[in-house]
Amino acid sequence: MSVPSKGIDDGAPLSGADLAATLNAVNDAITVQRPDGTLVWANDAAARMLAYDSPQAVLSAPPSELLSRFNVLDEEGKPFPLEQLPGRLVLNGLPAPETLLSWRCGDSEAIHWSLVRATPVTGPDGEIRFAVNVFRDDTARQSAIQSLQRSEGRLVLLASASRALLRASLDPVEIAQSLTEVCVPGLGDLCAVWESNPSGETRKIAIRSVEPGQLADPDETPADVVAALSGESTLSVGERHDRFSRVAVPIPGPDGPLGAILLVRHRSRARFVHEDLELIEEVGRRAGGKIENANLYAERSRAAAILSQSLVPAEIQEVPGLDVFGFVRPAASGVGGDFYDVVSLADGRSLLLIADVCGKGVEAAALTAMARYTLRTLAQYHASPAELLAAVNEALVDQLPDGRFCSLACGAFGPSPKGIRVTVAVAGHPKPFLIRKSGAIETCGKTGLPLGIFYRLDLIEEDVVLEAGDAFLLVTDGCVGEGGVWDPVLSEALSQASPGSAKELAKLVETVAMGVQPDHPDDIAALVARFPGD
Amino acid sequence: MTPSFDLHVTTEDPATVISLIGDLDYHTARNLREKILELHSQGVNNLVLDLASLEFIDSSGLSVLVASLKRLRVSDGDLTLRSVSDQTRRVLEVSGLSRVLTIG
Repeated sequence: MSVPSKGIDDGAPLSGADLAATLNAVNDAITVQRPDGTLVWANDAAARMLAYDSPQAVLSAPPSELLSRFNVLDEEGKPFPLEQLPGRLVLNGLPAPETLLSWRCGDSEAIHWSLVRATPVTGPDGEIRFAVNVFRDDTARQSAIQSLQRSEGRLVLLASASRALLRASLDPVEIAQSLTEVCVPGLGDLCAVWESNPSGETRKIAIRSVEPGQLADPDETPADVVAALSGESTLSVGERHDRFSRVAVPIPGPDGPLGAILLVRHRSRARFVHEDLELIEEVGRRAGGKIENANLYAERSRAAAILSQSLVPAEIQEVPGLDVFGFVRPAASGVGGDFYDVVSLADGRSLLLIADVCGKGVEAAALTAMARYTLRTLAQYHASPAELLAAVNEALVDQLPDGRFCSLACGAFGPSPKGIRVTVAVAGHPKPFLIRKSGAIETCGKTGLPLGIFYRLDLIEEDVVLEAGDAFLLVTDGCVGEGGVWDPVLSEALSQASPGSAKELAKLVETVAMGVQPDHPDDIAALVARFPGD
Repeated sequence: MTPSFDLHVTTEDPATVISLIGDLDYHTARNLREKILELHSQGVNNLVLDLASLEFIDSSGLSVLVASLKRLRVSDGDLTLRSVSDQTRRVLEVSGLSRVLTIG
């Protein structure tokens, strides 16, 4: 090693003291090692690095103390094998590349980074006498790189959390499970999710841990989770020998937390920092949005189900002398607008009707309920189907929104010398079928406009007579296809059926309809009245 | 479900023609509703719907036709259907709407 000499005593060789002073002025830590590994020299920077007061204190410390003080880690934070240190390699006559080491001094939390280079000093016979180690501090640069990597890691995690939430179903437990899958092991070693219901009860709905058993599954709700369930985020770290760190954040909802997320890191990993807390809070917010949507959806489905139940009469009104059976099978996609009913007209006759309101979902169900109760209310004031439907039409024109309409077919059942006279009216609906005892199939009625479009309706009634063994069948277009395209299929099946009860005929209609639209995109409804005779 | 529906607007003075392609149903009816509203707000009162490439129409599709017909009639216009397939014609007949819609 040559030090450029320049100054007052120009030309004179550098003294040992000058050399030591020069090396002490260098920022890099320098140590000189004997082949047995002990130190024979260290500069001031080396003493500072090892947290000793002076180079002399370094040299007089026992080697075991030095080793226990200087915790060397590799780039991933795991203990670095000491025989691989560049100085050791050089003393063993091996080539030693420049090596990046991170280290912690004693019990200090601070992590330092050094680029370490070792050079051998050989004697006259080529024997290795010393190794000179130079430690160049790289902490600032490595910290910057690490913090950048952590930020990138957080962004990646947030992106995968968002993706997982998008893919998750609308079940809160599944949402929670997909969250724990994203967070372990990427963000922590254990992740658990609690939910709280509106009445304030809380329960753990998902937990995931890197190694089951390594981290205790919190059976009870820990204090930080209780705080999170009331809206407060916390970051906490264990005492010196228990280096766990944990973050608990709320899953916010419109009226207070819907739940909480707990993340725990094992002692072998870097502790959570404030940026991690912010990241987990963001994950919590996104989960909250998703759960909120799920709850809204569940509520709507419930509302739709309740509405659709109200569309089917709890019990069909008995019609003297007739065997009546009806069913509504909502479309696979949910509630539709099909309904049937049996009501009494002003003259005491029974009116059997089936109807279909445009649209699907809750809105269709609400319109259907409206149409149904309008019909029931007005029936007691009108004695003929055409008059009743004209009155219902007027009410619906004012109430149905933008282009919506209601198609309907009905028959009023009264006595006739030959059996039962049915007065049929059809408002933009598939025509009723007559299933004769002989197996002959006819349709009946004259098609008029659907209800709810124009104030003028002008339906024309048609009378048919049921004799003993005949049946009258009302369907919706789920049974016969739009425009009645499946009419021949249904007619064929009905004509081949042996005469049976109204229920048997209805089941046959259902089976045929399910056969022609196997994925069941439309509602299916039918109402059958059979005149057994005596 | 991918809605297989498209529409094209052309002008055949004095009428504006919308050609419907594919299925006009619960999922796609809104597209036509919005297009007709847009044209109506630009002063178009006489609309022709070309149904040559219409493959399916359900009650939601019919309700758009009804709403448009009512809106256009209020402003002294009309809605005319042309190139109506047999199947669509049957739907219009069963629904009773063939009585009020002009089928050219």
